[in-house]
Amino acid sequence: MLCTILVLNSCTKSIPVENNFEPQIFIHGILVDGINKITVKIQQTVAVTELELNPINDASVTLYTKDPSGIESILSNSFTINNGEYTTTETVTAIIGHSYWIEVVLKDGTEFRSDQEILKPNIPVKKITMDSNFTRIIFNDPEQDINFYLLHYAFYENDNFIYDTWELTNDVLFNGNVNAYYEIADVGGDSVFASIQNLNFNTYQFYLNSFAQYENQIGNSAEDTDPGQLFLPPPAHLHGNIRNITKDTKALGFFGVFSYEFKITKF
Amino acid sequence: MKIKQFATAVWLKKCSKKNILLMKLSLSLFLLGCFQLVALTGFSQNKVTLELKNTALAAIIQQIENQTSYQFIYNNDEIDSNEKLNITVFNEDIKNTLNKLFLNSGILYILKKNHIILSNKEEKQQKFTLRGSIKDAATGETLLGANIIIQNINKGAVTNEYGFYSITLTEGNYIVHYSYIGYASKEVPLELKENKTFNIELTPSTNKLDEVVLTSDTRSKSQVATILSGVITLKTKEIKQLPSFLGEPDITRAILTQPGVTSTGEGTSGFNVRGGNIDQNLVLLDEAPLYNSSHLWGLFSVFNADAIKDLKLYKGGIPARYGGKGSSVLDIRQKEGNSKEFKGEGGLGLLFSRLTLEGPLKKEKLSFLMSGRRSYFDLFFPLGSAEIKDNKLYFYDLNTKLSWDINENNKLYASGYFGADVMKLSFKDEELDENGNPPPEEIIDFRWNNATATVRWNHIFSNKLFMNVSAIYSLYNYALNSKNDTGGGPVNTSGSFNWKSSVENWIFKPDFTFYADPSTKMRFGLNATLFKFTPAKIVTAGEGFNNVNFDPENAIEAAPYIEIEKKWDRFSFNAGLRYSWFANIGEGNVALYSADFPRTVSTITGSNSYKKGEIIKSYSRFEPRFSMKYDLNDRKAFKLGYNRMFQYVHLISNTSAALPFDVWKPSGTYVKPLEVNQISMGYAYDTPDKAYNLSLEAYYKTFDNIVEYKNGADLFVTENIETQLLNAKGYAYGAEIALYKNRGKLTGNINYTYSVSERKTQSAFASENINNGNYYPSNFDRPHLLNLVTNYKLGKKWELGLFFTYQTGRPATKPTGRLIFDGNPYLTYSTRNSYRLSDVHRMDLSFTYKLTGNPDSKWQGSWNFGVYNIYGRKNAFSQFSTFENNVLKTAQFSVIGAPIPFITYNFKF
Repeated sequence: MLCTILVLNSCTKSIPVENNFEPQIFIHGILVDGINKITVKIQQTVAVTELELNPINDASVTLYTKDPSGIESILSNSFTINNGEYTTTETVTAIIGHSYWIEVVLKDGTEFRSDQEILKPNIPVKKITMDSNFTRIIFNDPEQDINFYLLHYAFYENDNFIYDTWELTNDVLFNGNVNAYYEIADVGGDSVFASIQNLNFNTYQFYLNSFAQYENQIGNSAEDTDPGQLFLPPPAHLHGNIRNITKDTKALGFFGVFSYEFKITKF
Repeated sequence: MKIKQFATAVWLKKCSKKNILLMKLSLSLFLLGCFQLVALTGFSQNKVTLELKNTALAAIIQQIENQTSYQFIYNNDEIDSNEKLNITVFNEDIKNTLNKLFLNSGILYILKKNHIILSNKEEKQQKFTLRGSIKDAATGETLLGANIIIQNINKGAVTNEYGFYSITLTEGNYIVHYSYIGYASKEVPLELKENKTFNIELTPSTNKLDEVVLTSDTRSKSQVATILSGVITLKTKEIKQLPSFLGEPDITRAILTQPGVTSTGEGTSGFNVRGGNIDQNLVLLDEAPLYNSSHLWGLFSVFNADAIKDLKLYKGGIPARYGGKGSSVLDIRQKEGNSKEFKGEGGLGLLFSRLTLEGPLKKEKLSFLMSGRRSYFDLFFPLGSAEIKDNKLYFYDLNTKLSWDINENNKLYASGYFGADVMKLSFKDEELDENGNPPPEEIIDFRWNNATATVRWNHIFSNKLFMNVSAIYSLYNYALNSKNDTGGGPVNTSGSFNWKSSVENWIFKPDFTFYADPSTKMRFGLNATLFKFTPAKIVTAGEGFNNVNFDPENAIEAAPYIEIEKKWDRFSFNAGLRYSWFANIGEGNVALYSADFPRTVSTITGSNSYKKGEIIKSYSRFEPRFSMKYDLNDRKAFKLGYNRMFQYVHLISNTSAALPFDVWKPSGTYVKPLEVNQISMGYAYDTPDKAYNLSLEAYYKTFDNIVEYKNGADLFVTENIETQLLNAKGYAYGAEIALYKNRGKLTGNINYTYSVSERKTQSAFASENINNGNYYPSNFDRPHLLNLVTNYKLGKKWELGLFFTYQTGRPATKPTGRLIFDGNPYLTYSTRNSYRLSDVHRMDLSFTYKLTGNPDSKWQGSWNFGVYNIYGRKNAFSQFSTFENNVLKTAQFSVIGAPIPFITYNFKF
């Protein structure tokens, strides 16, 4: 009854809001294990009222690496640029245990750099199970390391895509468990594609912030459970592992360095 | 002839004993010569007419000498000619005049011819102590802060929080005046020839004494007599007169009507005092600390007003006996239980009921109090749909107390509190699945509770030394059980899990009060606390998941303290020093981090293990406290104070409203003690008839080592929680003005506060600072705060209560820009708290109707009804934005956005 009273009497109403926009630079890119071309995307944020994006096409990008002995070298500084996307002209070989980072210099001299991130070992998907309620990815979580995972489920029916979802978790609840698992409610289909990306902390933090924002503000799903966001923390900036070296501040974006494993199971 | 400067102290020091003897002999011969001389002169006029109040002795002497042929002789080293005395005589002879003048004064006189020789009585007279307790004549409850005034000599005492007083005076006859707000005063003649005990009972002012009540100081809020600034005292009666939310008198809401006290929003847990976080309030219930003072996520406080005697909020001058929190002390005392007769009271509301029973188990020796309260909106659930019929949502409280008056020197109290919130939600779809099987039942069982137990022993060692020893246990815990896939746990799992977390305190507190003389009181003692924090214990049933058992954190705090309170004629002070030693102790593991990088789980380089009882990290700090008061006269006082407080336990919470499962963390290797320094000053003024009291106060506070949170901090089941925290500093300043009207049909107060509260993070790594290391407003920064509290007596049966508040909207962070990531739009935000929500205002109205039943019956009933938020103001609690289809929509949320009527039947028997 109290809840009813509160629900009836609490209310949400739309209001006009003033805006004080200041453009920022958003950088993101991914390096996964194996031989791949690496792409880094650079854009300048725009006011929420603007529909046109503002890609940056005149920056210089350099990809660095460091081997386990500590020797640093440039992996690539040759990129093709297309609408704010910087792609290495050659493929790059990423090796487990080596560290990688990028440096971006804008035309005005502002310098950005990602943290040196180590490429962590692959976490193979041991098994995918499905019953009437849940689809579960089972894997072996290393005990000696604190791990952060980005998991991707894609469901197919007769090879036709029907649904996919991305999930994020740390290993607090299953650290060192040889049959660690993560599951989601079943959505049907006859085959499942599942991947595990073994993230570094700062990349995980970026995804955590972006997932929270997507759930609460973009997908708007939080409105059902916490209409006033009474119990949500202050909105998080989409910071990851990029720093503005010129100003010594955190910058928007991340350069993810992670291993990638996947499995497809037909049921 | 007068000898006004007979010798100086310096000169005396230079004299040898022989010289002094010669001087005394010379003086005697000189005086003798004077007497012989004046003996030759005759009387002329010996009648005196005087009416002088609070006048210096020298001035009175001058007048008597002018009206008579007498002349005074006294030694200035012995007699203080500036001592203030009262005299009212009409055509009185000199002897009666002098008797009246020097009654209770400590001055002896001798009439020799037409000379009056004065000497100090104290040198000849012994001192004795008057002690005792002051109680309510109707219930036997001790009265805390009652006044004991020795008439004519302007000396007095105040009962301590245990109802005890002691005052030492020279032998003589006195009139002792006992008074307490809301009670008829009493004057008792005292012939002090030996140590005496006066246990006094004062009679409450009743409705039958309406005429008296209306002209007495039953509601006085005068701050003139109190040395400490920024102290608010509220009695249960006042709290019950406020219009209440759903008819339930609420202590937290009553505190929020006071100047300098704000909250992040309506219906949130806790309150913020002068720029302090909610965890900076030391909330004591019968001396036991409470770690969560609210029910239903913050809508109601855990205190049942029927079980409470009174409360005191210290927000400025905080005595040294209190410590462990940075910004305020809310000291709540439970009733002791009626020691004279069996009594009951309670209330029946739409959503809650409460019942209090109290009475003597042995008359005036052993009494009990039991007070319970329960919400029962869940009792209607079975009437609802299948979806909710098995749900439970309620809270309850139980307050108990046993008071044993063992003998004149020993009293024993045992009190306890237990309160809990229960939320059990069952989700069961009525439809069968495609295979015809019933769907799995999903159950969330979430409950949190407070439990405290206090055993207190009052012992009077002597007339001057009083002791209270308290042994206290306090527990706050919460548990979440889930048997489903959407249990609100950290991850989705089909396995059941049981999550528990708790804070436990064991406290030992000996406290001594020494009444050195009528103007000097000393208080000293020790606070020793053993803490145990269990951050998270999760037991899961599913394969593939581990049980989680984060190391419990143990800590110990020992804090000896001493306070001295000294009063002179106009000047008085309360000075204190507290030394707090705090240690975080094993067993446990502490992660080590690379010094070259911000602290994250990725920069852990190892860990140190500590054995059970081994000190992991200790801190020791001195906490000076000083308050002084200068009385401009008996109606005006100026106050100044300085406080330093250290806080060693911290609530880890970065949500708009605190949650029941927020974690408490002790200071340790990475979380430093919070240091708060406050300078405050005040001016208290009473109108000549004392019908109005005015209080003006200003303060400036600094905060060091505030716990703040990194951008996007994840505090949910996080083992290395220090990786989510930032160290911050801050400041707050403000001015508060409050005007109280305490006589007449219309009573109440209006108060206004202007305040600023800001902070900034101080990471060594600039890139992780919030707002690039610049200051930003705290979440509860509300520069303008205006409250109006009124009570109007419409007649013998009807009373009207009205409350109005206006507050600046709280700060907020808003989206300002957008970007595209993985094909989806995302938002960028302003700097932290750079915008504000719209201003807040609300008016509540209540009526109380007292039923007149059988006058011979003990039953007294009254109806309390009214409307909360009478004009339905939709005050913004939060503002949130969504971005869909390339359009930003911003909405604001109001917790209570409509008028809420209420009705409650209250009774006493």
